[in-house]
Amino acid sequence: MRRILPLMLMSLALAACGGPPTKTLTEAQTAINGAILAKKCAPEDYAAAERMYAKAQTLSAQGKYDEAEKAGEAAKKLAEKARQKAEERRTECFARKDDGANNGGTDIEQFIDRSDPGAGGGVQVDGLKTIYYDFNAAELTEESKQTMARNAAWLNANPDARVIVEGHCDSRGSAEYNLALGEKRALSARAYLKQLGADVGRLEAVSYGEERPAEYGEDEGSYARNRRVEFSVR
Amino acid sequence: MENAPLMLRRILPLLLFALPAAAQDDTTPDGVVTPVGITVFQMAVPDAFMQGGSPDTRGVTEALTGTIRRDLSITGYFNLVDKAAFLVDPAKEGMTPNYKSWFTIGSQGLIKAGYAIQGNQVVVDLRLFSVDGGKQISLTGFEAPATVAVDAAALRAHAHKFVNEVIRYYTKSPGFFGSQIVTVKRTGSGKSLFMVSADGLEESRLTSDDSINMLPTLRKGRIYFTSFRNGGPHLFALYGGQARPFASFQGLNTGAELSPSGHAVAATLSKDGNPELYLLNPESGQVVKRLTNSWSIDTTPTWSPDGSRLAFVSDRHGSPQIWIMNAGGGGERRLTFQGDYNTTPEWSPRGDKIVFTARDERNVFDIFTVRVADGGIERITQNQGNNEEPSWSPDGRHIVFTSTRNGAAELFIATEDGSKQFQITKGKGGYFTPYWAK
Repeated sequence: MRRILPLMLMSLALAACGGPPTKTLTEAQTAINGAILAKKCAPEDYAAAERMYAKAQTLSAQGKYDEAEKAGEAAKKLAEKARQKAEERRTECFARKDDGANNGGTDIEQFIDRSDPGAGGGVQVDGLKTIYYDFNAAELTEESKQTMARNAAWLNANPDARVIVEGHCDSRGSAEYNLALGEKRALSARAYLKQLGADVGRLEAVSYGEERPAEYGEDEGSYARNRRVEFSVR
Repeated sequence: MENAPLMLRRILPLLLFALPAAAQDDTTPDGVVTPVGITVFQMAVPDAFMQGGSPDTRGVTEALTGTIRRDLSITGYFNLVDKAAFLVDPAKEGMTPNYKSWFTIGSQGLIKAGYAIQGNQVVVDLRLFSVDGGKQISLTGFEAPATVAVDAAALRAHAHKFVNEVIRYYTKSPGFFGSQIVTVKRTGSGKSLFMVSADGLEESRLTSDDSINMLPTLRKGRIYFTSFRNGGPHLFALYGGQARPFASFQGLNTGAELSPSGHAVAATLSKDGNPELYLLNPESGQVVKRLTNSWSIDTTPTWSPDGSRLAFVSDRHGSPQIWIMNAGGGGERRLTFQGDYNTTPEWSPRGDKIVFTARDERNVFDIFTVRVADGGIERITQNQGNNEEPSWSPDGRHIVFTSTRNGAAELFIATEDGSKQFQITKGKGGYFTPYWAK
């Protein structure tokens, strides 16, 4: 015989009786939020949902809770209808090719092949070599310092070149923290070039975090080649 | 019929993070009480049956029963009783259950669904029965049969609403179905924002440009996100069908989150030399106040539910750790002391805990929570790929996160103690930084 265990108290009970239909209004707002695409692709339906939601809010503010509840439910339904219509119209709505939008998921492999790591705005030149870092580090290794000495010499020989110093990270860890870490790498690289006597006024530091990997492999070798500062010339 | 098994985890000790003894207890098939006291109920959900009208040729049964079963499984609060164990033919039994025959097979609850298709509409009768109590449970909005369009989305929405009420009956608080998760996927050479329903079955692409769009948050009907569309990482606000430039100071502009009251946005800017936390005006994006001042990385602010404090990531002691501070500035205090890579905090809507990602000594990423009051750590994931970027459900009872346990990163939902975990997305992978709309 199975014993029934008592319900555990998992949260405070909501006492919603007789008050404003907060839950329905929240749901209606959520439904409208979820139908945001409809503002572009099914604007009339979206506007109808928004109007009904505004009406629900007004009724609730006037203390007409039953009517507000009904209007809130109607707003939800209208938002859902708008969302569905927008989905149906998505392709023509976004006139240009919209990969990944119409199927439920995106095959990541096909995008790996089409990736363009060099799309940062500049072009790489032979004279400015990429330097590499340890995990979660922004300090230059001895090997990087030697590379940087040659990079500084190239900069001195090309005084008119405007250079982008791009900080990059491997794919592991927090995407946002990696943006910060990539910036730290780019700034430390620029600071080291300044130490070496390079004119850094024409060096723009930018972080791409883990967003533009040099390669997509999920192995130590790929990670190591992605933890880098690249230089490109505008 | 999909009957996704609930993942009962055996939690093994790790070198780095000690676990409470309770977490290592074995579980039993029913009435499982998890470490934070989540009770798991045995539920029987027989197929919806025809009560009249025309036969179901358009998937009404699947849209109702399939949705209810899947939703119950996603929450982790229910184990589904195997249909093979049923002692009676549910359709012949109709809407008046023989409680004893359901009790005998271990059901605590029973959900019955009847339908009558009339043209393009269907009358749906959804009912919850307490098997041990021997009675039907009246659920708000489901006291009487409802008329619904014969349409998968409409039927699923109706079933979601019913499940939310079933969860309210068992746990005193409604379920989360109908809520949305904003996330990121790779598209072409860039990344785009996507909206995913909390059951993972509906997905809409939100941004359509080729650049990198990332780190979305969604509160009070407004998305803030980080994008490279105008050059270096800048902040944008997306609402009313338009992404509007929000903050584009020199250097980094990343990771904005609106406060619970909507009065300010917390974000990371590096305009003054290195990444620091700032409060911004939620409309203009102008700086209201600089919050931190250290020679290190301060990033990823997340609001406490009362808006009085922020948690964030700082590496001022040499490695990224979770810190908290007053939202008006000052009171900075380190909260995590184990491990050397703790990131992506999000403060629970219930206020007591912060969920975050930690890298352990094997270079594996897992989800943990830390109690704000005393720094107590609880592990949510273990030994199942890399698990990252957690975000709380609006009521703080569940956590959505990415996991590579089945290959490419998918979205998973776990109960707040991690005792139950469910993959909600469909298996093509490639999800980043989900944020459950609040």
